[in-house]
Amino acid sequence: MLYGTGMSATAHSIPPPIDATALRAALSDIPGIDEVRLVRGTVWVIVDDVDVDRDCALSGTLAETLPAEVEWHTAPRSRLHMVPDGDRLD
Amino acid sequence: MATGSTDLSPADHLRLAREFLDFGARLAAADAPDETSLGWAVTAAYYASLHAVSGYFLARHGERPGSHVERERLLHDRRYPEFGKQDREDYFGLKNASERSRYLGVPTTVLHHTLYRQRAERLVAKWGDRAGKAAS
Repeated sequence: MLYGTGMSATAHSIPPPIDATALRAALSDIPGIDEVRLVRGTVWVIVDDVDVDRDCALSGTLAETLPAEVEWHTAPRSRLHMVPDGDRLD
Repeated sequence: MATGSTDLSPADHLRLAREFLDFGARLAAADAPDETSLGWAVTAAYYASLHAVSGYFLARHGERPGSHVERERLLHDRRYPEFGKQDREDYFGLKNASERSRYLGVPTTVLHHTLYRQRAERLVAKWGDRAGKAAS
């Protein structure tokens, strides 16, 4: 269990837990995922390219799996250099 | 009161949903729309969806979320099972596309915009209709 300190959390709130095992399982059937990264409490999913149907399925899965307080984003491989370093979750 | 809470009525939310869809259509209607305009058109589509969904939750359930997090909790709330998997994929897909365009400058093509707009139109039609019926 990893604990995030995302931008939505205040200095006095307890960071919401992230169940990395559940997240990995939820994402396992979605194609085109290069990497899943935790950056200061924000989950970043790096994908191969933009694919609207796949990205909507991925977004629905992330929203369903992660606590609402945890921020998440997706980035295509072409924008990998814009994603900060963090801990790999995949 | 949570930050961002407003006193909009269901009718106000539905009017804004339609206005934002119209605004997005104007952004995308140029002869050769650029990727930035198309990206903002997707953002307009996302906020149109947000207002349609907000109008529904207010009209049907009296819920008035004051933040994105509060609204998104409602979309997963077991008390409201009518908001299903397809709705969540449409809503969060639009949110993700809007953020990706604004935060990372990921280009939005004509095809991407068309597909996202279809999802927004589906959300606005479905939840706007239900909000209207609940409010009448």
